[in-house]
Amino acid sequence: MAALSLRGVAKNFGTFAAVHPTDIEISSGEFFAILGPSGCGKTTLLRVIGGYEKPDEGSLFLGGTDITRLGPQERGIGMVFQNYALFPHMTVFDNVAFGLRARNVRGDAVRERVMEALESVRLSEKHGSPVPALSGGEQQRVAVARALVIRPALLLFDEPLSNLDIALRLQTREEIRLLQRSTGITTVYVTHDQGEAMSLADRIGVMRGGRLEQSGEPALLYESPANTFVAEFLGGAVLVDCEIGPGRDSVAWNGVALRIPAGREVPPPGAAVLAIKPEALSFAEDGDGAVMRATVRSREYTGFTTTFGLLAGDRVLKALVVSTPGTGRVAPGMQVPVRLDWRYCHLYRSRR
Amino acid sequence: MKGSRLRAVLTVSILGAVFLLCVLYPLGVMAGRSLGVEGRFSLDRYRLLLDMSNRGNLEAVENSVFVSAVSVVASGVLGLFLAFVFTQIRFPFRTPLARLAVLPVALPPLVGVIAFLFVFGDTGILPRGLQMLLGTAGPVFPAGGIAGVILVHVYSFHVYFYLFISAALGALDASQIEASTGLGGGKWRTFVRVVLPELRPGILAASALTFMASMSSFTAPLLFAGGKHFLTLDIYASKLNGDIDLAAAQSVLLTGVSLAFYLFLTLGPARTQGYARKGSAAAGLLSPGIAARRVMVALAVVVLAVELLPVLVIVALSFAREGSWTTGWLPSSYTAVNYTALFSDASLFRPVVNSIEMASLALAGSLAFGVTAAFLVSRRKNRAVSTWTGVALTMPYAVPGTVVAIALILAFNRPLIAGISVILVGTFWILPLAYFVREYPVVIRGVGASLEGLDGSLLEAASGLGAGSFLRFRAVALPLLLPAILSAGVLVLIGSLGEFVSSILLYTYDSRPVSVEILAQLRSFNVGAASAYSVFLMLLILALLRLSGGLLASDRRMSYIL
Repeated sequence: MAALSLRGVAKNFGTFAAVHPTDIEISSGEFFAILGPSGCGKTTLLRVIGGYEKPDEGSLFLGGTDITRLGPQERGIGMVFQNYALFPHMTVFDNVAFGLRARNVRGDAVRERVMEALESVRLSEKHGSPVPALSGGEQQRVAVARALVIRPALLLFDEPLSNLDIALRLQTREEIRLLQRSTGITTVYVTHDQGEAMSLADRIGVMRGGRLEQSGEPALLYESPANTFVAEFLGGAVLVDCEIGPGRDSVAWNGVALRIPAGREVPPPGAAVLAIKPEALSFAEDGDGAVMRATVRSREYTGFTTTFGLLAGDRVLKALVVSTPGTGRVAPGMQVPVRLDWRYCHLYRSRR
Repeated sequence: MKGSRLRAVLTVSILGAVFLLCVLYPLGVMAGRSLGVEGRFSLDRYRLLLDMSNRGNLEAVENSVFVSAVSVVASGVLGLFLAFVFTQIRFPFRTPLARLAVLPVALPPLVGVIAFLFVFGDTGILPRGLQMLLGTAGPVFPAGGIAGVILVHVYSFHVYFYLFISAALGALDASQIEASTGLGGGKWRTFVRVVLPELRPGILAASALTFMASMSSFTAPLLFAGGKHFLTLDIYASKLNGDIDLAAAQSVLLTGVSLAFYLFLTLGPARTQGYARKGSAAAGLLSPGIAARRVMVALAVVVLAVELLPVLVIVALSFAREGSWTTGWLPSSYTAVNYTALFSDASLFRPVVNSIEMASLALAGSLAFGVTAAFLVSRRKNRAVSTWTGVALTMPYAVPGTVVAIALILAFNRPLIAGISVILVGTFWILPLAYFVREYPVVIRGVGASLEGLDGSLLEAASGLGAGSFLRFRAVALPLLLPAILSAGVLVLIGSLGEFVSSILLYTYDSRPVSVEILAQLRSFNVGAASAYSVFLMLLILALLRLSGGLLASDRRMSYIL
């Protein structure tokens, strides 16, 4: 049985539809990430789940119970806010104990459960500290402990890592992942960072313009993006307009006809869109297997890999290659023969 | 769910009932009485009042508007000057002197006016001292009449400009000024083209506030104007003459003017906008050349000395033996008996007890009503609804004290509804009620501003953790708002302890507050006793201000310890 079901949930702000009718089923213990660019409605959707916004349409079920009409204080859902929303006038201990005391837990039980929650985020030593004395990373962990201690049926995260620096972000990401696996609490996690979503989630829902574009396991989304938006946002693909041949076995673009390997789903003949991911392109140094020539426009060396900007026709494509002594010799302005790996290309009828 | 919903409905109903009974009903009754002649609807009183061929009416409007306009301009110039000196020029003792510059607002209105009278009035120390010194026939430059009223206004109200402008100057970003001078703008050009536009909202707000306060000013015209007509004085006179319906009509007109300014103040372009700025403050960047700097600082110190003089004089006079200040420019004999009498004579101490009791009642009411109302208003999701509810609830802020008194008299001098008798006129209770009506808006405004700065996600986090609205309020909002609530409470106490304008129309002998007693002593020429009361009030207010400062500091410490 699904732990959380959204059925046709929609939310408008005045005339603006922040979330169009959306269905999501999340199973018990699952880590579900909602991924999308800013303004796509992902935080609004999360706030509807938490009860902080009332949906205009549809209904929500938590463990089979209809929670659509319940306020946040009646849902038993833990939430980690983007700015953590710790109570600045309380100690770490009192922040974590707040939810227990609101539930009329008293005495030793409070102490036991608070310390246990703080233990799980490795902060039991700091229980007496005032919140303003903590670092950003510690505050983030207190916020997690505070959400966990009420033993929530569901845990919500609203971009919890966006206020941390890069090193701390990677470390905290790992901690959140371990904590979720060990507690087994069903989790919904909102982020605009695709790397974060891919590494953390069992399943990802990609949102754009208030709509859920595609949801599924990270590998599925990456390998079979349902549309050009998912291919661009998740795969970093560059989109080019092309023409599919009458036999549906070739595609014409930039004056060259590319042969489509057999066994692929191909849109009907006519105008189409080809999504080329950065790893699809590589240099054919010996000319072998080259499908076209491109002009190098830029080179971005990051150590293990190098990303090139390659001008082909009127489009600058991205090529991600493993750095070798050879790639160091490829400089802007050079003409290079280029190979195309169809495993990292996707064909669509149109952009969306 | 059911319980908290019920509690919310109950709270709103109680607040609404209090507002209806204490504010809307009295004002409504007042408006109604102003429109009725022998039980029929009539505009006759307004025709009479707006008949500008009547010399008295014309004079009242002329005087009130003229005095208010001049007060705005003069206060603005003085406030701008002091703000500029204290934010842009560095000199020794700048910080303690800057603190001194706001002293006049801490004086209760009556105390400020009589202190001013003692120093600058035609029998005041300065004119008489100069007369002795120069050997002239009469007192030199005595302040009186219209000019006296304006001087008193400037003395009290320039502080609004000083506070608003120095806040705006403090918020100026240094890089703005550096950009302007870097682009070749001189200091004067930079000041006029870059700085002044930034000060516009503050100047507009202070202007509206000063105009409003001058229009409703009662004490200064009463003591200085020497029988000239003013709108507030005419209301008082109509009431004393027994024509309370005419007083009602005059009150409606005055309130209309005041409310218009209040709406401008809260909704118009004067509303201060929040700018998110980075960079360092611009203090000192506009500092003029050394010669100009010295002249300006010297001038500012003179202004402060003149501001301080009334306070020093009233302290000195509180030790004057009664009857010893007749022909000399200073009293000839001094004693502490004014103070010992104050604390040993029960009938002299009675007003002090009254004032403290009534101010405490007003405080309790204002905090209970104001804090709850501010909380409910800020929680409304709809911006327009919350703004307008806030403006409506804080409306009494714009109602002159004289008008509050007239409205309360009209509303509570007869049975409320058939069977329910709430006759408060002539009782002790009408005074704290008036103080409550006059002062609670301060709480809504102060706490409301603090609530706007409160991070909404804290309350959401609390609700997500299972806290109902009451627990959210008690455990999260209240502790975070405590500093704002404390300072609002201190303001309510300060306003109520020295309240004079409404009290003079509402008191009975048994419920007379300190301010009324001061006037009574003054009228019996007991300068020493009047001054002793004044000093006592000032000390009380000073102690309250210190207490709130101390509490604020310790509260900030508390948030780290707890």
